[in-house]
Amino acid sequence: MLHNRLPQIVSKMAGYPLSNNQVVTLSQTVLTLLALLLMMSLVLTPDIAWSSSDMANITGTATLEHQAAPVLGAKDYRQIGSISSRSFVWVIAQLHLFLAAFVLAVPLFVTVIEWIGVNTGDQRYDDMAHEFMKVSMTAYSLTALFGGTLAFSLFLLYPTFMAYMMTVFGNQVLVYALLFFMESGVLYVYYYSWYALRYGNKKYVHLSLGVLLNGVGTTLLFVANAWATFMMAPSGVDDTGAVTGGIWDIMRGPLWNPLNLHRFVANIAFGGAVVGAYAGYKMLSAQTMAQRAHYDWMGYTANFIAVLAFLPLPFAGYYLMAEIYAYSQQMGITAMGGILAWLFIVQAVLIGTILLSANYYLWNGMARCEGAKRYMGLIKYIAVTLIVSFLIWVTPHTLILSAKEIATLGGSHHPWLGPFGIMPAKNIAVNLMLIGTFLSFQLYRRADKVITVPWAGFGNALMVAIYLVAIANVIFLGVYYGYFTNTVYKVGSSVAQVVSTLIVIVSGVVIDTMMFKGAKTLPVKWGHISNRGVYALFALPIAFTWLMALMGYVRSSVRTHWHVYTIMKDNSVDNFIPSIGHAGNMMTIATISFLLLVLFIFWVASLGDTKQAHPNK
Amino acid sequence: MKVIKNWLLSFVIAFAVFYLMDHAMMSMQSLPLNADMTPAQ
Amino acid sequence: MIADESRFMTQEQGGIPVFLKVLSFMVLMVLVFTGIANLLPQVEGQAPKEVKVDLGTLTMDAYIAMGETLFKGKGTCTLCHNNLGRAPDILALNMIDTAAERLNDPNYKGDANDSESYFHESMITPSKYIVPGFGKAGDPSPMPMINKAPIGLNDIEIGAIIAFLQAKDGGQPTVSLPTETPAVAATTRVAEPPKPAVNAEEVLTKNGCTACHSVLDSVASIGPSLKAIGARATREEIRTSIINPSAVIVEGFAPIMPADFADKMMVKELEMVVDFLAKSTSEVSTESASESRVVTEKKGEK
Repeated sequence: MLHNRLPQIVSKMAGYPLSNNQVVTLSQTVLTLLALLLMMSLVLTPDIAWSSSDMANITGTATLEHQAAPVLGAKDYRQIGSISSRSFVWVIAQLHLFLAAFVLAVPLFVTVIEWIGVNTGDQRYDDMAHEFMKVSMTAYSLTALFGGTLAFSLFLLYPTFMAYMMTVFGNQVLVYALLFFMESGVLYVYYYSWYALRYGNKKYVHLSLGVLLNGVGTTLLFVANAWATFMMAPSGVDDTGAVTGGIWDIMRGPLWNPLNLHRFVANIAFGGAVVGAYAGYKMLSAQTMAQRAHYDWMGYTANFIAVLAFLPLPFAGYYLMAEIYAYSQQMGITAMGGILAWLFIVQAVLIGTILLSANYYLWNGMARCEGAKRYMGLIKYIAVTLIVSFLIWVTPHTLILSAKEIATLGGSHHPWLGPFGIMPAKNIAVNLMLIGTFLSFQLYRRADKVITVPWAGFGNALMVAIYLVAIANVIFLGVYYGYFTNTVYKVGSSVAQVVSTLIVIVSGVVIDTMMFKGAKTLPVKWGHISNRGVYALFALPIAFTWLMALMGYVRSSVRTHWHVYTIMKDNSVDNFIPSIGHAGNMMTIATISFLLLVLFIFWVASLGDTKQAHPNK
Repeated sequence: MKVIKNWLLSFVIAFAVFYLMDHAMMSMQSLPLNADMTPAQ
Repeated sequence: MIADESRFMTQEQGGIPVFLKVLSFMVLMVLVFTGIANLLPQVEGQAPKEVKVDLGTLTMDAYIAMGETLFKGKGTCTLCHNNLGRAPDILALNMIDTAAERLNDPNYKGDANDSESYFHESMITPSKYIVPGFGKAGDPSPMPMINKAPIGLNDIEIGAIIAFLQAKDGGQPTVSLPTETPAVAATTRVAEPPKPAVNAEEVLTKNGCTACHSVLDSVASIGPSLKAIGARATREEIRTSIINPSAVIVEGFAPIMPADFADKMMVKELEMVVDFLAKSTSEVSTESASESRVVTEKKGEK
């Protein structure tokens, strides 16, 4: 019965008719995929498949189980010449993470774009998806190379620490290796079968491969995240560091899921920004208007992905930070209010750069469409809001000051800038910036449409009302609870502020989707954007890359003088939190190296398209 | 007339949504508010 | 249309290649970020140093000072206990009065009965009693157990913080100075801590220096005269001779000076004595020269 009706159901879901064969292929691939995911989850959750004691017997870790973490001395650290081991590992790890984030993110949105291509029947999407994949292929092998280098340098420079980590994680590291093999296999098949599996049923096999690739890739990310979160907030071990739980207890620490979410979303934003730069570069060096138009469209799409993934990122960050506070208030304050607090000024500059570039790009992009003229008047208000909010955001709060500086300032807070320095003001600023960016985005989406639905008047009025009330609400919540009630209400109201912003975003998307039904579309002239506007596509990945390095420095530094927080002390010469200037220089070394690698990747990608003319012709 | 009705209705809806959301978000965190938005503790 | 589009295409004719423009734009941006990072105040977060406390020479003043250093440093107390409302602002509150207030709170269910045991309890088992208005209802206290990792203060250090909290508003510390067995330190206590001497003269008399040495008004020949010692010995040598008398024995004297003066004296007292002796040079020069000869002669007679 179901078998007969299945094609209709699936066709309905897909939005257009499918043949019986297509449905069968699709359901087979879906089933295979589910089976594979189930297998992976069993591998990852050994306490479901096997009890942890069995696991210990199998892995031979039984004898190691009740061993405390070793106390490290000078002999447990090595150094290559006079190069600081920490600096060395820092740069290698950062490069590995940049590349890994990129290669994990690209297939995520490539599969989505491929799906859009299938769904709309527009071949341009399929070509673009393939071109994005091409860029990430070279990056993949570089990721593996840096991953290997990182592993070797960790074992070489921090042998005892790594031995302890191996004791704790045991066979899980081999699961990681296994997943890596799977990732490579699926990735190559996915990329090289692109044209072999392009149409009809075969396309669904290809799409399923894409989903599988992302399943494996995301699992890889989560497995590796467990190492980082174990070091920050160990679980599955006792006070001395002796293993007490199964691998699942060790992995499922309090910070694991927050970090999984944060990195997953951030990777997409980062990957989008990098391919955006690729498109921007190809666009500027295009020889024909057709090429320019193609890459303009590609750059726009990549930027769209980056910004879309970026908007929820502050909320994922908020969740991570809240869990850090819940795990250890001390750790939270070390990050936000202690010596690392200065760094959030740099973070504000970077996020401000990202938001301003994204908006600048959208505003410039409005030149592509005649219909945008209607909205040009609003842009200056958005620009002013963004800049004022940005300035409030970078106003520092508690400063670590010398006695003389405190005397000059008349207190540790500036007399009239002080109120802008505290969290409520920053919450207002961040939410207004996000609302402003979403407005730019919404205006851009409306630029090429003439809305025809009969209730357009009401729809527009409702949208305007939502914006105005949301902005008023964000300011009211911040000012009233932030300055006139107690701390608990101050913190509580920030959740309502965030939800206000989310309501704007969600209702904006919903109302627009409904209003665009049957809308007349005005022509968009791709390529008609000033070259200055295109430079926003280069600002974005640079700010993202540097920001990622910066946040990595904070995430790692909150452990202070511990390798594994509360369990294994860092007794190396580098057991201090480096100053922000030194960290900034390290980030710059990593970012510029990454930039050069990316240029190499782009060059290799374009090399494939270059054909030498036959000398006899 | 219809225009005025549209705008009035829109603002009434928006106000209601955000007012209720504020109350909901705060009480979810066990921070109840009075009808005039002052803390009810 | 063609003319319209050509304005986009002509811009890249000649001039700097796109590649260099893009690269330098990106590098420039990175340098701006780096510059900002370097313009900010540069603070390093040093790992806490393991400080060996010389229990023998420790005085209550030094113990209180040690408590203050721990409170603001290794203990990381000021991360939360400050004027930002996250935890009671200990430095601003009078902690003796506050402790009494807390102990009288009908909701107080802990075992403490005075400020010392209250402070101790608050640090070791912070969830025993959570001050109203702090923490989340139903949750344990957000304050970490101070004797556990990552802070991990030992009993001597916890005692020092208690001493600091009691003394900072003019109160009298009730904690005893730690002895060689630190476990006892935090629980036993003495009624009154010894008061340091007011000046070097008092230290010299109190410790019985005058019995063997010619110093101040005394004339004695068991040990070498200390008059004008400042002319013959450096500050360092004087200090060494008090802490470890057998390090240098003046010719003709027996090594009989007790080696425990350093333990009996407070650091402050020791420094006063060293300071006083190092300064005894010219004002008593003539006398001392003859006297030291006298001492030598007397020594010779023996």
